[in-house]
Amino acid sequence: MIAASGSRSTSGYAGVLRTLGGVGGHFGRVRAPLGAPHLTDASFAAFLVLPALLGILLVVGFPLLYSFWMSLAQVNLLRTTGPALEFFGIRLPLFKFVGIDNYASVFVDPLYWSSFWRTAYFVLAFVAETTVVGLGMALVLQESFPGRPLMRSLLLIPWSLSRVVVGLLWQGLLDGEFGALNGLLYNLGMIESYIAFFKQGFSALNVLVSVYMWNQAPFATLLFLAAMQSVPEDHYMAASVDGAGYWQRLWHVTLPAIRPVVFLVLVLATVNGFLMLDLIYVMTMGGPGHDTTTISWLGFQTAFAFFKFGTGTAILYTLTALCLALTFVYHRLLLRRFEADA
Amino acid sequence: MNGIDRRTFLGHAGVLGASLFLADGSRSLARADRPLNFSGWVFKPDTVKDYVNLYNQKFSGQVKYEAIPWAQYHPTMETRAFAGEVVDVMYCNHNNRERWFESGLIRALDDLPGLDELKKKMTPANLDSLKSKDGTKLLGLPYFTSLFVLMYNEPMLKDAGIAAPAKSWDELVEHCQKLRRDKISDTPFLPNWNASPSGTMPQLMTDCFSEGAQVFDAKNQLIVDQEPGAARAMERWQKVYKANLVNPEVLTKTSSTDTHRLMWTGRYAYHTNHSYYLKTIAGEPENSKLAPKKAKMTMYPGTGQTYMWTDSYVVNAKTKVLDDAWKFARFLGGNLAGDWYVQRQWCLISGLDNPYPEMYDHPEIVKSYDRWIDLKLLRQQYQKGKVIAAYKEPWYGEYDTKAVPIVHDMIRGSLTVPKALKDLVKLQKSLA
Amino acid sequence: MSRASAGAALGHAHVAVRSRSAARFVARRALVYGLVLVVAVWLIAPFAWLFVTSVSYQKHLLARPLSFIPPEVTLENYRMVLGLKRFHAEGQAAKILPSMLNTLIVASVVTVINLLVGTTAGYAYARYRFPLKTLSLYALLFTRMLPTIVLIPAFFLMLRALGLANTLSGLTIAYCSFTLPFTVWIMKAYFETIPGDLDKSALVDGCNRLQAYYRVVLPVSGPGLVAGGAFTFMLCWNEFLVAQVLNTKPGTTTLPPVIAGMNGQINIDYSVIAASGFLGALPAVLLVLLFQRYMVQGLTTGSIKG
Repeated sequence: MIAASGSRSTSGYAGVLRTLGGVGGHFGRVRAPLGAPHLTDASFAAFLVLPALLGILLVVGFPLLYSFWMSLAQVNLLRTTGPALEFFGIRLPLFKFVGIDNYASVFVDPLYWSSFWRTAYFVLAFVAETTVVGLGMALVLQESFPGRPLMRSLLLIPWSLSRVVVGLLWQGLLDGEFGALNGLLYNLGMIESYIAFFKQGFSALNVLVSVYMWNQAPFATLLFLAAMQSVPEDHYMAASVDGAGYWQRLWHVTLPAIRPVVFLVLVLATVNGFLMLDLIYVMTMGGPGHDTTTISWLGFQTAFAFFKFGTGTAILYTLTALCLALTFVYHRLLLRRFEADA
Repeated sequence: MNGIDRRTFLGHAGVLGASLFLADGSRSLARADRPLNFSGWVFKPDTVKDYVNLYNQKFSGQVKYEAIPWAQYHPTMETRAFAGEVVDVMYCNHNNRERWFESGLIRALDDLPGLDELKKKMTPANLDSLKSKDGTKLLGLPYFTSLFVLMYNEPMLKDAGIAAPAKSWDELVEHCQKLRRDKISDTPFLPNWNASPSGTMPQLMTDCFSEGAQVFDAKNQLIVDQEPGAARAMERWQKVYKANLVNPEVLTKTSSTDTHRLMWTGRYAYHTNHSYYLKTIAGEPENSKLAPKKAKMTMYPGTGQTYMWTDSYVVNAKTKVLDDAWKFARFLGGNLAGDWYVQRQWCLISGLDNPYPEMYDHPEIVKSYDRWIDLKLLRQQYQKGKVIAAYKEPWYGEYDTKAVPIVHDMIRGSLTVPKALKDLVKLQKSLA
Repeated sequence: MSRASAGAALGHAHVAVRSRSAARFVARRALVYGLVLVVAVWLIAPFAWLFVTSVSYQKHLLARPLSFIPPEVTLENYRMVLGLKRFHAEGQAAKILPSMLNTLIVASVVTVINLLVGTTAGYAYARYRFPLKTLSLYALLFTRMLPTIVLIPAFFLMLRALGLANTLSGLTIAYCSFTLPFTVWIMKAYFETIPGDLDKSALVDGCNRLQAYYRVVLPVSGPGLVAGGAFTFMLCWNEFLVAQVLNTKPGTTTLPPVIAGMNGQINIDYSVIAASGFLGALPAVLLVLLFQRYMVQGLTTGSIKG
């Protein structure tokens, strides 16, 4: 790993990747001299981990499988007789198995594909905006100026808001009748009448991207700042002595050093972009037309507005598969980088 | 596992259990003996609350009322039913009545006492609307009936030197173009194109009817692609939108109520919406700049036919308090103890019409309507009200929701009219 | 050229360079302050405007030109939201305080469960080797990338079968699905920043492994616990869709669906909705600002490591 071998953050990250690679924690071989001597470290650790893992198995693993089953079934919520899973007197209906019918019907639906490409655009735009704005804010806040700690706390405000509130407050800014942004532009004489920001589908989609970015980019900024702080000062010194200007230092010192975090931000933004749903619910409900209908909204609507759980879960499962595939790609990319750098 | 381990573990479990118990314990409030749950979508919830209170006092009822936002109302009620909850008496719009009946959520009312008498008092068209698809069962009592009307801003037309409101669509478009040219209004036309079930699609049917087009055939199949009138109506929609005669905000409004509030500002010349909205536009000076009576209705252009429907009160099939539920339903949708109280209140307070013609002879009602509308003209428009039967098909609700984006794309010009009409038919066929 | 004149020329050049770099310095500072201001406005102005609208009358918001300092400040909107003043949508407003209590209960219980169960697991991941460790870490990473919404249809039916539909317990269980993997991950990363020598010496001093954990390591893990706890609480406090779909029965839902319901309610002035939104956002914002130091540290460490 170049540049930042001594830094906490990056070595920590590499540490995790090593752990994931199977090397194991540094505490691996310690044996307890006292207390529960009959228990090996491994079983002690298993005892500590078990409640959480069992819990996760129950609240994530099982529902995930059950949802997958539904994506292969014709689900009628009112007819719960027929085959069922039964244990401890709890009865979970299995409905009628139809194989890949749901997926087949999803893949021939043009609406699915238009939503697919819209989702792709949304994710791309969101990832780009979040990374650029997040990095931009980090570079500004990295400078020294009075009140820097205060500014860093301000970062947390957009990020800590519920998306319902985020949607509401941006509606207050963008509304075509009382939007403050409209008011500002109007007062400055830049527009003659208020703009309907959600009128054109493409602008509505871009507004959604930017509003979500407003909510999420501050977290990217925090990550960038943490990474920048751990770039050793002498690297900058060396670059300065060589006569490098601001942009050269940024390009040759800062960015390479924080590269792992840039990748991390990309991964998080990609996943968050795919999963975004609540803001659509609050701001556009997938409209106007289908112009803000993404795969997640389509799946949600199919499952919970039309109560077609079979088709709905099938759509949502394709989304899950997409997320996982991309995570895998990023992960490969990351791992290779680290192996090359280490 | 040693002692400490187990104790710690049990401790955890205990805290967990206790907290979960607490979480639900706080909800187990004292229950009334025989509460009756009543849910409706939000329309004047304060008014509803008042008459629920009146009922509870007068008939010693225990009705608990809850209002849910219009756009989410029907899916929410279905979710609640699927989760096993029983809401005894509910609002149900016409689009969902058959679906709810066939899925076993609501019951037919025919076996309940006093129904025949109410049936006799109802206008036949509305009575048919309330029946099941096969025409044998009555699924609900009327909440209200309404239809689309054309309203206009009289002072604005006068300002522009327009003597009389438009009688034809061409004239209306001409007026709007003039108003925009003269900078009297940015967007003179305000059609009810909101995305909710009470907006775009009924407005589409209305405009098709006014062009003499059928929307569904006798077998309830969508036939707009074969109707030149439908294409004419849609081309006009595209045209007025392209010419910036319509405020694009209407497309993203979440209800017809939200849409009609735009008319309050006095910045629009023509508005098409449900008849009762003229009540607030022309009758509530505290809200609307077009009150009193600066906004008026005129007969709908073209054939004058507009979409008419009947929304209803329905009774849950699983109610455990059927007698109470039926009594309350009659209070709401009929004349319990000989008094049309709720039906009359809706007329007086909100201008919501009902399918009981005898109501319109009541002097109190005549006087009240006179404050905001030409009642004779309104009754004349009702003569031209057109009902459909397609909404009784179980697929209708989903069709109605999914059709909106297609129509919106068409309005905004990203779909051509023939393609959009074809897509609508394709959509309907895929669901039927 | 004499030496003197050469020196003078050099001196002039120096002065010129210095004043040029001084000007550059000033320009650079100005640019930095300008950018800081832009960032500050970007971060805070939208939320500040939400507050301003919440103490304004709707009619002033509709005025053109718009006045950015409200001509009249009022608490009417808050009085409506809190049920102190009757208005036509008081039914929806009346749900705000009870749903706030529900949110508080669910968020607190989920936080406690997460801290109890997740922290313990995080510790084991940070310190020990055990079978399936790598696999289960991958599984945790996997759940982080999972759309929660895909689980909701299953939860809907499972909770119905368990008789937990429309209960806070049901919601609590569902919330653990997206918080618990996070907590384990954050706490694992946090414990890795605590030197292993600490527990080693505790073991040498006669503690058993469990005691080493909760007597020695946990007491110095305050910042990590605060970070994990506050983050979990914030996630639950703000969660919208799961609650909206799973808890539809009146009185069982949480705050975000109620606020979203205000928005969907017709005929409510935006200023009133803004008041409910501001009120609902305040607890999470205050919590995060209060624990900001720990949260930033814990989350960045946790994320950068994850």
